[in-house]
Amino acid sequence: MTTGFDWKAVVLILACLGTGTVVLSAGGAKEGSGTSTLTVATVNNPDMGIMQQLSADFTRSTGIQLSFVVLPENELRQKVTEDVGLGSGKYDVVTIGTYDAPIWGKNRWLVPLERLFVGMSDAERSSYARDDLLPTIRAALSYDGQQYALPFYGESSIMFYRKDLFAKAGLVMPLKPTWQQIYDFAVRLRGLENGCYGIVVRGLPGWGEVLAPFDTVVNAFGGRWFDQSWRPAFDEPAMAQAWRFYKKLLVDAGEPTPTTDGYTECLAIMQSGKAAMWYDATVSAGALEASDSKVAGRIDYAFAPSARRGNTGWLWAWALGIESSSRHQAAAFRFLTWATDRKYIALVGRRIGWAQVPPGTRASTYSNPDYLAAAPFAGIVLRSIQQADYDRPTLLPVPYKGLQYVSIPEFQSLGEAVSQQLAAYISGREPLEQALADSQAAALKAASEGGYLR
Amino acid sequence: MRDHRTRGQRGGDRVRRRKRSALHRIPGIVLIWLVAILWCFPLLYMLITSFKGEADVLPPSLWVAHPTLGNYAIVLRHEIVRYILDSAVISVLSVFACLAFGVPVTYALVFGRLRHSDNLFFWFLSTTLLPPVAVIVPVFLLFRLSGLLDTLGGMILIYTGVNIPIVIWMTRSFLLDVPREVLESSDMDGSSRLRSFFNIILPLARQGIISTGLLVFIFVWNEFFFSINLTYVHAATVPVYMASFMTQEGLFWAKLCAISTLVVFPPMVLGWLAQRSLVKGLTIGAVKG
Amino acid sequence: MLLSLPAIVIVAVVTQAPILATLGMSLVKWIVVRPDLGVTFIGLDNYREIFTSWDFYQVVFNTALITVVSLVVCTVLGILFSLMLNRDFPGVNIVRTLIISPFFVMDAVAGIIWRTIILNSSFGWNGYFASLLGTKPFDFFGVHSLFTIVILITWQWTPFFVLIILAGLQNIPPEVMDSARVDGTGWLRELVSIRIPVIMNHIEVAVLLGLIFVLKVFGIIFVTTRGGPGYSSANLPYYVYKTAFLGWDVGHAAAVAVVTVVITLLAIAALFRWFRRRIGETA
Repeated sequence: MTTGFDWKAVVLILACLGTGTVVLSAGGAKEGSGTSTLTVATVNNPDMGIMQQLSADFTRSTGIQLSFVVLPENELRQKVTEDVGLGSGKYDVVTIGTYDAPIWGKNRWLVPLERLFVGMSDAERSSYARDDLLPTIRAALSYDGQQYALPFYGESSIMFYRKDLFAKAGLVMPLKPTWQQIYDFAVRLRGLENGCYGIVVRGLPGWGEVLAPFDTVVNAFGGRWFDQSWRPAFDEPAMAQAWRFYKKLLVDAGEPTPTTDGYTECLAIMQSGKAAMWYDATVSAGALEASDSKVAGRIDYAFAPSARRGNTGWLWAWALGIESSSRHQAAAFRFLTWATDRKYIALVGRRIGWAQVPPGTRASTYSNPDYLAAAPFAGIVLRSIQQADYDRPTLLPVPYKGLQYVSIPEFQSLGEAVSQQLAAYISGREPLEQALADSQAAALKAASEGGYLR
Repeated sequence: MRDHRTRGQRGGDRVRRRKRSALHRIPGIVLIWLVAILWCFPLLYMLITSFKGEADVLPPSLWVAHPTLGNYAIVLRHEIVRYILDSAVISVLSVFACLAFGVPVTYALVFGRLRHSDNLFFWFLSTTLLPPVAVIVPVFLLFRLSGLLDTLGGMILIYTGVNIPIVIWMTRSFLLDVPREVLESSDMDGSSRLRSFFNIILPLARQGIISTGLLVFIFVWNEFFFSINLTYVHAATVPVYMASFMTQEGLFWAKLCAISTLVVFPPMVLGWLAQRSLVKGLTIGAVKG
Repeated sequence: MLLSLPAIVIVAVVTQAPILATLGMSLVKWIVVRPDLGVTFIGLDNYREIFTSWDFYQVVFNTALITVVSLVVCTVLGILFSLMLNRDFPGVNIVRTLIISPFFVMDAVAGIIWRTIILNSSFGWNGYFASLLGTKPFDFFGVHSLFTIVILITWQWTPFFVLIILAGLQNIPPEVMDSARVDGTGWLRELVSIRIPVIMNHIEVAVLLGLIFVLKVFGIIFVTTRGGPGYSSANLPYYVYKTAFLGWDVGHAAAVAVVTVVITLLAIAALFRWFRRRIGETA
């Protein structure tokens, strides 16, 4: 081994790099633990975007800095689950849905909000008006009597349709249609104008994508995921009927490659006038009436279609919760109450526009004349949310809650697997029997491994 | 200007010049251009669309009726600037770290008298077989424990670890190219190993080392899996931003194309610059075996 | 030796030690979203589950198909493009630049661009051509998901092959070419019998490196099909990701990861040996 090379230069280089690395990583950490900077994890949709825009107001009045992490829904849920499940504590405020809130509350990943409410002054409490929050949504965000998150916006599902195309075809949409009627309309409307699709519904695999509308179809046809003893129910005839219907609807009158169309694509299709009907979230109403929508002013609304069972609209809310490992719980709670307050809604109405205020959280929104003037869909949305039967979603009794999902932690991966089976069936890759059998097996595994099925 | 091509390439010129006059080459050339443009079409169309207004995106067409820079303006006002900065810092520092750690190793492998230099070389190479999925959970836990999650330093550390073997692989061939006689004569002149390294070896292998650095930059800039799982706010890179750009609003394709164009621009340019040396580094070492 | 130490340490810590940890994790049952179930040691149960699951075999099949088809097509296209670029004509530099561009585009962008503006059935060129021809748009990401993934991977990696093979072609000594031409051999004969064997080394390097990288592909699948419909376009890395970060079954994911590494090593060793034997024949 030769000797004589200059150690000093080598050591110097290494030292520089080492110091640099340490400085950079320390720099990252320091920012987090500074004076009251809240890290807020949110989804990337327009309402959250508006919240970010207006958050400067919050900082101005409270002095609390905000740092937003914006991710698509799946990434967000995964990131936050990682964060809470492994205890990293990087987020203070997390945006979660009605699916996550009860589960995380049970796992103690979120701070129960009761004691924080108790800590409010009387003036603050009456100004916040907790009772103004819609009861169904409040309940969906609670576990065992404790509320774990405050709703930022709430939604149900309705049928959007092009009243101009209906008029042209001489059809009339009843306020409470059945799925069979929808099918007949769709077939009649298909190709009516510029090769438009009769209907567009989601088909993209994902428990938060295709399963959202599809699950309500299952409920409507009288199907369910599990029976009372947690035995999977994919072998029940009602379930097969729902599958067959959904595929038939898409193949006969829907968009050409449904398994690539999620919420974003469906919205784009409807907004650009390529479809006569769309069954999806109530929050889309605002987007369809926006200035860049080609169908603004030509949309009308009907309740979520029924079959054997009525009242099938889903229930969902994006809400804000506080991670139990957060070190800024008081500050986080102030942000929570700011973003879900009547005053915030009014702020959005004034600054951005009344059609874009976060819907579906407070009764006061729906008695606000400004809002009602800007949002012709307000009435039907409110009734859908109020009617949603979160606790008893199906025709036959079930041991779970949740309209467009099953409120167990395993549902994320179970729903994902079943939605992939559904996509395989819809795209013609798998026969129905096999898709149902695979779904049954997956559900069985989830139920037994999760300890539900004895 | 010195002709850097090999004898083979220069010889080929003679052959090619003989063929040049034939006119029947024109349809062949047109065909080749057509093939190249079709091949690259998605990228070219992405570029074209980035200059269209959102309303003009549909139906798809090659013609830009009202060219606009508006998309770029909007996109640059977006938070993407932060992600670009993060990516830039992480990439550049990773490149420096990789070179600083990797080149000395290659030097030792090529010029040193290590007992098991071949084994060591193959061990380094074997680590490139590593699929990132195989280590993501332990790495995540390790980072969490040591506070490196979502830090620039943490990302630099992991990218360095993953790319040093590539540096070694590539620079080995460039160092092997340095003629032994030059080294031996400088040894006889009595200069230390370090001085020979800086004065003789480095200038000769400089081009190769720079291209290796460019390649590492491209790999780090484009890297997706580690960055999406190990970053949140402070160290999030451009691919993370791109994956999350699909917002829940429709009609955003022109902006998407504008961002995409911006984001692929740096690695593309670097790749074009580094083409030749890239190949040399990858192949000659391995081919000579 | 001491010069190498820092590099060895860093690489070992980042790439080797975690593999041991993964090995360890593959022997436990740990579901992150169910903290009440805790972490329990279950020995080889994870592996047993893997080898008795139909999905796993489909994923392995997908991975094999993707790899083999991509590598073959990349090699063929690589040779064709290299031949094309190995001449001197106006704009050869630009053409070469165009051909190799896809390699530098990040997975996320490549996937998004193909998915939204090229192959989208409602808004992309796919839908446009379909409406022109009056047919139903081709279902790229649904029915033919695996096929489409192969196309995308091939698109991204052919430039890599082109770079390497082109270098090989350009380094063929002119004496070899001249002697062949004197004998009056045809163009195709020249290609198959002379050029290809001479650049076999380069082809080997390209294919081996290509194999290593294609086996690791994740971003493209993540951004376009998410492994679906069903598991029809999932490869091993995506399967591991899905199990770990969507199913939160960390133990099971770790086991799949271990199996992936083993398969990778076997594939590379087998391919390497095949090449050595072939080159031994023609040498």
